[in-house]
Amino acid sequence: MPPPSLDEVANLSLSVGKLFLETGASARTVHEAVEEISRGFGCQKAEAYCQHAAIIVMLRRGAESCVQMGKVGEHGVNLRRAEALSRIVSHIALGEIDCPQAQREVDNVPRTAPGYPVWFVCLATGIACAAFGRLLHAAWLSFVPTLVGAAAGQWLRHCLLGRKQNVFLVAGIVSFVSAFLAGLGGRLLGSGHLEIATMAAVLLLVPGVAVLNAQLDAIDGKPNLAAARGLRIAYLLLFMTLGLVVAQHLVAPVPS
Amino acid sequence: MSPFAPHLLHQAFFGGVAAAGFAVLFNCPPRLLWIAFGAGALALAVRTGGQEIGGLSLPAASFIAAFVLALLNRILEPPDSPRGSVLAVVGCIPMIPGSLAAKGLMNLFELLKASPGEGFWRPQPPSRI
Repeated sequence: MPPPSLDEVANLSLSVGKLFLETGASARTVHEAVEEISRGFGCQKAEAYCQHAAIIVMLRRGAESCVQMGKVGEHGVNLRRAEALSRIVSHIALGEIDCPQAQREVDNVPRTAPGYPVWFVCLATGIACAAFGRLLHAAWLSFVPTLVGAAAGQWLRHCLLGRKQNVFLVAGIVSFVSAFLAGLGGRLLGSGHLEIATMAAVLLLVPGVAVLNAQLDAIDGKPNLAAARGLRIAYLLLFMTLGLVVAQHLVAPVPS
Repeated sequence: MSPFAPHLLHQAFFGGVAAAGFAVLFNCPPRLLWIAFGAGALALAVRTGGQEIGGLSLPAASFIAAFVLALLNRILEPPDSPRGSVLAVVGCIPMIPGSLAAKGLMNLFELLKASPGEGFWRPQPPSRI
């Protein structure tokens, strides 16, 4: 079987790298995947340059070389997609699949990787935020309002991001709605910990994996990507806090 | 039973619930949800124990908890596993200080809206014509 062209290998590497970044992987994971793919198809050298919104791949095989650049979409977290991608990369490294088949499988990952139903994700997110409320010592009375507020916020986030709305504005709106519902519910039930309940309800917006990745990238010597992640985290937290403050002023005013 | 034990169990249980909930949000495979629960519970148990028994600060206790999780992940997970360090990541999520970050930003807002002349945002004097 003749080896695939460098263009094909670079295109496959870009697809894998792009999907990895979009599913919440660190730059190191992308670099290792690109190296495994290129070695699997006979390349002697492979470099990947990960930026927040783009990825560049440079491959060398004998006298040939190829550089390709691709755009990276919105960063999120999707562990089942990441696992599916890792399996494909392992198959390539073991020489079990050829380049066109690998490209087809990678292109199919967003459609074929299973996911949970939206209602279940909203419920689980609500329960997680209510648990955060307990960890922050919120009263039991605010458990259900926090759960409802965070679940409604997750549903709203799902709908707004599905319509390609600005991610920072979505964070502000979701934060306001979640905190408002949690605070209002807590107030109606007579809970005394409205501030904690409203704060717990917006914790679904804290980009925890991005925080970890930013640190990993900085330690691994990828300051550009780490800085971009850090800036994005700061803006997300800023919009989250703005929504939270407005909601707290409405439902849990601080006595003057 | 020492009064510390119920507190430790409480923190571990809700840490596990938070980790499992976020594992669903991150589309973690269903077979790993119980392990995500265990990872979150272990992280919060170690962190709470470090703070309450060891008298450690929050950052130091969180560091030890994250280190224990990462160590367990390394021991239990084969190096070529496609899952990578999923369990360590999901287990560490309940320890991300999101509420502290929000409180810090809220304090910054308070500083900005301090009484006239005290905050960063000083009112401009009326211009004279």
